[in-house]
Amino acid sequence: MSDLAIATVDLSKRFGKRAALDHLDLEVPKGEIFGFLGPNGSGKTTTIRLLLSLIRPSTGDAFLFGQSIKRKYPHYLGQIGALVDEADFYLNLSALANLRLLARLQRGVDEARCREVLQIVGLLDRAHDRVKTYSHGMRQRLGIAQAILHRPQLLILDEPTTGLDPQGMHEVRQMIRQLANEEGMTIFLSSHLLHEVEQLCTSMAVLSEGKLLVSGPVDQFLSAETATLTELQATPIDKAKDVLESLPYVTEVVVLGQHLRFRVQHQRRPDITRTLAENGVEIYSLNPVSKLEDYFLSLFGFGELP
Amino acid sequence: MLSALHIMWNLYLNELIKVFSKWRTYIGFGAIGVVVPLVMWGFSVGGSGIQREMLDRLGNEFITTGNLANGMWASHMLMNALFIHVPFLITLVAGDVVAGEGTAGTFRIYLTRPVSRNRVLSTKLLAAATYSTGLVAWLGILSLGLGNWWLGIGDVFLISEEGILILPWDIALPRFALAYLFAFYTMLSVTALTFLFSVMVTNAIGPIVGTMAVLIVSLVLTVINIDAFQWFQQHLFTTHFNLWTFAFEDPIPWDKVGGGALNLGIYSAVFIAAAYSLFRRKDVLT
Repeated sequence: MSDLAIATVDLSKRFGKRAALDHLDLEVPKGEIFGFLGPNGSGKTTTIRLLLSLIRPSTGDAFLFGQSIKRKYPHYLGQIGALVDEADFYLNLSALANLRLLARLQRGVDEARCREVLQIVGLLDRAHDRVKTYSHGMRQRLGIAQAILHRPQLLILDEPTTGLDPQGMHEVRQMIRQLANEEGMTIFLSSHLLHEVEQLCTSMAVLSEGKLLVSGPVDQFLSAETATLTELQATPIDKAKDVLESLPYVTEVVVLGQHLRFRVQHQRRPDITRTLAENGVEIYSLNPVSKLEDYFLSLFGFGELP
Repeated sequence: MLSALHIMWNLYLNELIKVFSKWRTYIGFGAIGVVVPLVMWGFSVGGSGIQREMLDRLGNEFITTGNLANGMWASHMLMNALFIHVPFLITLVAGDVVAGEGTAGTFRIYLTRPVSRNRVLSTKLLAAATYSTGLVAWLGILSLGLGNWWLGIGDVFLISEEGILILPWDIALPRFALAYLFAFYTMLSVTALTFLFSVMVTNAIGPIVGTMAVLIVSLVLTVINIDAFQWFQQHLFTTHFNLWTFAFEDPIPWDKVGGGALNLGIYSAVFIAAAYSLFRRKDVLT
């Protein structure tokens, strides 16, 4: 267990008769960027709240750096930074005053560090403004600032890029990579954005209806050998469909409005463009759907396209 | 690791910052700041009428010199606000101390720090008690200070069921100090009740409505003079809200003071113990 940042053992949470989390056994090694995936209501946020002792488990236990979440004095929380759901703050206080409040609860966090994290997330020039005047994106960035304030060893992020513009998303993802690579933090990233997990994570787990479906290295789910879901925009579309269906290495051809979707191995894509062009089909775009998205869809039973 | 005392001080400081960063905190101080001068002004312009009414009740058995409706007497009258008005003002802040964090979602950043829930709750209770005590102190300082300056200092003339008591001003002053000490203690039971409601819900309106409902029902039961109610009236905590009045009896009935203080203390302890028990097990879902 010493190599694990997080370990859950038979962890369950019930709200009345409903099982929000059902006997979860999960292991997150130290130093990983771990993606935590699942549809809405699958139990991701419940798991995070359990790890942070915001709610109590119905059965089972979880260990963070080997310490049980059932401990009376949650010292282990000193090694963890978290952003759960949307970032909420004391709105009448400034960003700096909010960070000072939190800094008082932990050792080694001084005024300079508060300003440093505001600098990291690009809010130093608004440090003295009340948080109530902040946009959603700014609050989200402040959320990350409070999470890394005390230089945690484990960063738990629940949909950290929600509500951010593309530039903001890019910056947050870069920050996550930087924290993992330069500070050696373990990152536990819950996200709906599959390409985000694909880009960032080294390992992942998928949750559905409170149960763990799969868990393992991301590469395992992105094998180059599997046929990739691919999207084609071309005209005439009927002819393109006929041509694709005639090719032995193309499967599951489906028309989706003005697009076609089908499965083909990555290395066969040049053959497809050539064959379609030879048959008088004009190609506007040919793009692979995210492999992880493809995997995720097939996992939940609607990978077979409508 | 920060020392336990240092952590408690930091937590308490945080709670005071949170409390005093909200506008609602100043409503109570503002309301008292408006009402007390208004009442004093009323006494200053209608004081002779009040004095005549008091003397009429005594018949022609007393010859008085000076002004009975003085600052000390007016301050004594204003202490009756401790039954309903001050408790209401207390609920505005004490009810928000825990529930407000639920509403705002800030427990997600505050309770995910390496401090125990018991410590967080203790400092929240301490902050709520600080506010309540401050509010009562503000009432006392303003009513005595402004009253004595505006209406003049003088002996306190009190009429009760037991008879008439005239407290010379130099004796009345320490009695006021004692009365406010009793008032602080009484209002702590209101704070404790509001605090319990605040732990139970996740919006700040619930504790205000809940506490006021309990107080009003309990006060009604306290004052209704029906035989069937008498057996439990003495056990209601609102029955002992008059604890401060014992400071103006001569001699001070310490047995009644002790009994009332014990009753209020037990209620406060039960409210606080229930709040701790609930908060330790509370699921933070907001």
